[in-house]
Amino acid sequence: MGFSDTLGRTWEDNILFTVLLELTYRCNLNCSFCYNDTALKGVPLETGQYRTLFQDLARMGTMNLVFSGGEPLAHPEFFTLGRHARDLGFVVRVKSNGHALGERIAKRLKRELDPFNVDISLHGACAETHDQQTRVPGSFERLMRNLQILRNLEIRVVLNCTLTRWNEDEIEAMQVIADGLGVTLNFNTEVSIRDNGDTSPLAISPTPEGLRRVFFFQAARTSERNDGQRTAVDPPDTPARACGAASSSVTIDPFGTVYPCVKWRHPLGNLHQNSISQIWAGGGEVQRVRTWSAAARNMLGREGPAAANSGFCPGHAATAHGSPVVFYTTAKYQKEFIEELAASPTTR
Amino acid sequence: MGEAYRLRPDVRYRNIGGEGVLLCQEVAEVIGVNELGVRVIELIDADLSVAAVIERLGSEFDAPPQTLFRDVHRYIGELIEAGVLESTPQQSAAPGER
Repeated sequence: MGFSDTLGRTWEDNILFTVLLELTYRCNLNCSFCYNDTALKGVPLETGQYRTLFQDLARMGTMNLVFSGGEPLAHPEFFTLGRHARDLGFVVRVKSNGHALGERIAKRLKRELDPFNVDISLHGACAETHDQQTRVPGSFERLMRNLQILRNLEIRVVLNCTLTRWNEDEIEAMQVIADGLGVTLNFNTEVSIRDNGDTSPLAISPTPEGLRRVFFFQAARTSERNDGQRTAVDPPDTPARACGAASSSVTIDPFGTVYPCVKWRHPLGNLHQNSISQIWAGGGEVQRVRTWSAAARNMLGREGPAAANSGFCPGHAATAHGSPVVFYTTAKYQKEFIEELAASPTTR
Repeated sequence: MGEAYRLRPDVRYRNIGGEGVLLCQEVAEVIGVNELGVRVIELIDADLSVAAVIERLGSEFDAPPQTLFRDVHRYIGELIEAGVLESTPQQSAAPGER
């Protein structure tokens, strides 16, 4: 059995493989379109509760632990928790804005956590655009310095860009930055509404032209890597669910509420009341989400193979459109682009 | 003292329902291993020498000792080649080991 089969089994057999921890909603940037509900109140999980959680997760076979936020480095016990995760053998990933990752902190991160990679947000190819989104002057220049530091320390970096109408004209230029650093650049084509339901971030969602541009830009890059051949649109060999939300992964907010994923804010339980293994095995809301995910997968099947490859996110559908089976506009665009690409003569 | 190995510091592994998943972080390589493989790795990670690993497996699996000896040594060789294991600088005898 290969690794992809094993991963497929985590979906099929409900093995909690990846857990994303939103350690804090504090942040040293002030991104205009941030989806976090920074006004959310609750009792933060204490370090001892995180230790118990990590031990439970190690017993359950969880492999990936993702430290996120807000800005995870803003959590006062970030390094304590990170060391504990490393000691328990988790593959540790950190999702950061990179603002605090100067030489001293970056060295400490490598020494104490040895993360598999650090995911860093890039909001544009120049200070004007990046700083417009972070609302912190100088954040772009500082990020460029810190990225070089991370690379010099041989920390694996993945750049993530949420495409917006402010940065959609800088796709190629952002790729030049990534290539110059020798790091991967991923584009997220969906601006999320805030976790409190505020839809104002959608005002800077990418235009249809921007979506098209990034899709065909990425397809051309893939084609280059594949020696000029494009990939055919075969239906993905996936289990009977649209994604691994609540079947192989969960997200946990700073106050212990467990969600199917970072975009699907449907509470499954709370760690102040129950352990993660109790929540995972408890049925109820977990089962409900798994059923919805299966329904979403069926919906994609009816839409055709290109839909199944469209990056459709049932969590985004549920949060932004009220139902996990709504085939929303961005996914429809992606489906159309895939079909257009598949119809071109050089695709095999 | 017997021949002994340990996981390289950059290697992470988990037992996923009887199948092992290994990640060599430095080279970003993922390796899937079967039930016997994951058990060998668990025992090595518990600081058992190769002889102790074979002895333990003999009590857990229905296989002749010579087959286990051959398979475990071959498998450990593959794991060393794949950058998963490295030899320990100093080993002490495991309980029950001659």
